[in-house]
Amino acid sequence: MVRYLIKFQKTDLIKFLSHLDTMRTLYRAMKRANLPITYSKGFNPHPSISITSPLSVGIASLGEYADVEFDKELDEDFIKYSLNKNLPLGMKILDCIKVNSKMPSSMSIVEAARYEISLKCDLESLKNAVDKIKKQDNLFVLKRTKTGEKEVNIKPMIYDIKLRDDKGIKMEVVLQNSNKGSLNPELLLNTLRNYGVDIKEENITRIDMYVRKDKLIELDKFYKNNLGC
Amino acid sequence: MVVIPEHILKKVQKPARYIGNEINACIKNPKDVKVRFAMCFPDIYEVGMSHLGIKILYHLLNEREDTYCERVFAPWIDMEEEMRKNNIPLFALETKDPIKEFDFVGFTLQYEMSYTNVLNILDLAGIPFLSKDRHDGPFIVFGGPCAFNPEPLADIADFFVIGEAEEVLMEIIDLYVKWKDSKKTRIEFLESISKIQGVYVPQFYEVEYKEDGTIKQRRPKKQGYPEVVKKRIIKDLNKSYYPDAFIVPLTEIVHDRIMLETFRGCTRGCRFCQAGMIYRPVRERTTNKLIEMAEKLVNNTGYDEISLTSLSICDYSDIQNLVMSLISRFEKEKVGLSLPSLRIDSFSVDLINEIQKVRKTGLTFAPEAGSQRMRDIINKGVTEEDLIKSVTAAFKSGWTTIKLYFMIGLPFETMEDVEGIAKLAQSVVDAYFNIPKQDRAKGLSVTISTSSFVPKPFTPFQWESQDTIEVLKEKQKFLKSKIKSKYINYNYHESYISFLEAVFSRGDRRLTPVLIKAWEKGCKFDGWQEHFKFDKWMEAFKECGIDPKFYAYRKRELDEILPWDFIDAGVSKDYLIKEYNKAKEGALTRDCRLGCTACGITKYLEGGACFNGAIFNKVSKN
Repeated sequence: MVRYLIKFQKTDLIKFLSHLDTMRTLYRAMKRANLPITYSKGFNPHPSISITSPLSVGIASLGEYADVEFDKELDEDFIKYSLNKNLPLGMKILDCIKVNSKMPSSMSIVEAARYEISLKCDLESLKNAVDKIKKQDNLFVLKRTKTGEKEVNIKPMIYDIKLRDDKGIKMEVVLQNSNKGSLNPELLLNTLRNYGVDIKEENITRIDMYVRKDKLIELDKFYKNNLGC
Repeated sequence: MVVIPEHILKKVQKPARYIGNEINACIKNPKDVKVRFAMCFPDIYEVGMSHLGIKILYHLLNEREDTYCERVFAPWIDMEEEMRKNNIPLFALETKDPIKEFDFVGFTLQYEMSYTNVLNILDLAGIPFLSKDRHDGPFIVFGGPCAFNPEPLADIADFFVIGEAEEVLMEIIDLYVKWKDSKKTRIEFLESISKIQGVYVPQFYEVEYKEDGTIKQRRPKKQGYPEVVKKRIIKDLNKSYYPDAFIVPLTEIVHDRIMLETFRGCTRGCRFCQAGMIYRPVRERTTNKLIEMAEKLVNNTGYDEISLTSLSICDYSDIQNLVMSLISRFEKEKVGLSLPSLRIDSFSVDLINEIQKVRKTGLTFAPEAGSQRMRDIINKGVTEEDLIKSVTAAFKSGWTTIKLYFMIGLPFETMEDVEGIAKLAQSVVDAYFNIPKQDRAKGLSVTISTSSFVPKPFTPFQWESQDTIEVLKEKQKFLKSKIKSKYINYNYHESYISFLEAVFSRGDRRLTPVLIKAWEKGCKFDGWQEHFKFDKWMEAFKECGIDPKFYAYRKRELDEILPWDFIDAGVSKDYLIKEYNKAKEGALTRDCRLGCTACGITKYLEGGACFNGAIFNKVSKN
């Protein structure tokens, strides 16, 4: 078994695929490409593909990741090339990295995600709301969970917020995204709405995902440089 | 091209239904073709994309350089609301172009309860409902099993295709290409195709009714319009077109797997079953051909499951060999095999055992009726002993979940027959406990499902009345009271929907206004229980002065002119009458592989043979 990390993007209409749809689409592309997928043992064998972090329907991404395993070693560029020949328009493999099998799974070490959010709203009221949020120590919001609604403090999950006015209003945020809890950028936007920002249109793109080692390091760099061992 | 604003896609459920862009979808430049065809399935994406017929026709039409076929499905309620609010016309998935601009809009009619969705699609597309109101724009064509009684949609259609469409559609498009370059009228085009076998143009005929509401006569408006419309079939399936790269949806659909069509037709002759009559004769693909098809489909789709499809899969003459060959060929690639619901025999349990070596999910059997008397009436040639032998084998192999399908309200049914359903289910439970504990798995569950019988055209029961809603409810209640075991669950279908199905399945031209009225009152997705509005339907009947009971509950005389009598489905009326009379006596008719039963299809074939492709020495008595 040989492990690989693949980095891919979901743009255009493909951003409307759900997490499970994305899994299936990746799996079938691998089958069409005739890649030697490794399956789990047991009664109901599953392909060894795990997407690092689910992405909400409607959010695009330039930095999605998945851990995959193949029965034999293949050239990284060959994997990338043969998958790209078999993926639908809008889904594209950006990189494929052979991973030392001793390295932890990407799902277990991912810490944060960066999003770029284009907004149609009043810039001043947005600035005010962001300033208020930044000054507060705690920010309790209602989060819908499987069992009902729960009040959570999202302030510690906001690592960074930057605003710029560059062909429209852009907000760049870095949010906690780990197995200890993730902040969905849509929840942050709803919080801004509650602070009086009248958001007319939004367009969210996940830019990349990070591991924390003193500072944030992109997942692909982390694995490429074998920083986990 | 229609641009669907992203904020709409973000708002609706499962937006992947509307984005197209799938693997193996056909991309062409509409400017390069002469004919644009919108292939519509009048239900949502997940249902429509699971239908084999439109997959075949879609890819077949796109083989033509001069034609671009695209897909259209009914948008779900939330999307429809957004489309109406934002003035978005109904578009085809590939180019997102409004289908109003197309040359043909074709619908497959798989069930009567989709008719209001047909209207809704036309309305969303901005296409007038009635053929007489359309002076330009696309021709509207219908096909599929419900087209065997085309009359309820007669005023809406420009034409119907009766039977298997692969060849006839090509002939129609050839004539259309010629017509498009000429300056001829729409009527002239319809006249030219009305001469093709399998094409029916309803506006070329008029129907006169008697005072009692039955048909007095039906005649062509002009000499030369065919008196009888003969269905079309594909003679040799091994030579007929089958796609080698189905579209692979980006989101999960109902039947999300490769469908391998093994054969068409059925020889069993169950008397309630329309498919068993209208798809005759049996024509098989060879095992070699099927394996070759499967290889290409696995490579081109990436699916990990193949489903063998046909009417009665274990009747495939080389089934054992086919199943074993497919399993051994694809085992390494982790491609599994599945079979649709089964006839009862222990041979099929062995076969399933082979297929599902590991996972023991539920097994489904369809005895259709509870008592032997009733099963003989419907000519379902299976016995309680068969069932018990099969389930015993299944229990011993580790299965514990059994589903049993039945119909209630069958002709000549008594309460004793209904009770028979509960008794049969009980003997399945008993069979489980008769097996020593160490030889069976834990967790028995037996589910009884009943649907209400709907008399269908071209079956021996086409003259019969349907049980009233009240009687059906009573039978459901009675059956429930007769079930004692805690291991048995009972599910049943709403009899209101079955009533309406019965009205439209044997309806005539006078139903079109009712259909339009019901749609105006908000009826759509009638097959979806949560959207079915019975009271609105009843209002529509009342306002149109039509009594639905006339269609559902009335027993027809054998000499009555039936609305679909002008269609030659291959099976003769004499045969249907003979079978009807035998049903009354509870007399069985053998499977016609064991000897011809003179259904009339050989006359239709004009010397051609039944069982094309079948391996005769492997046809067993089972």
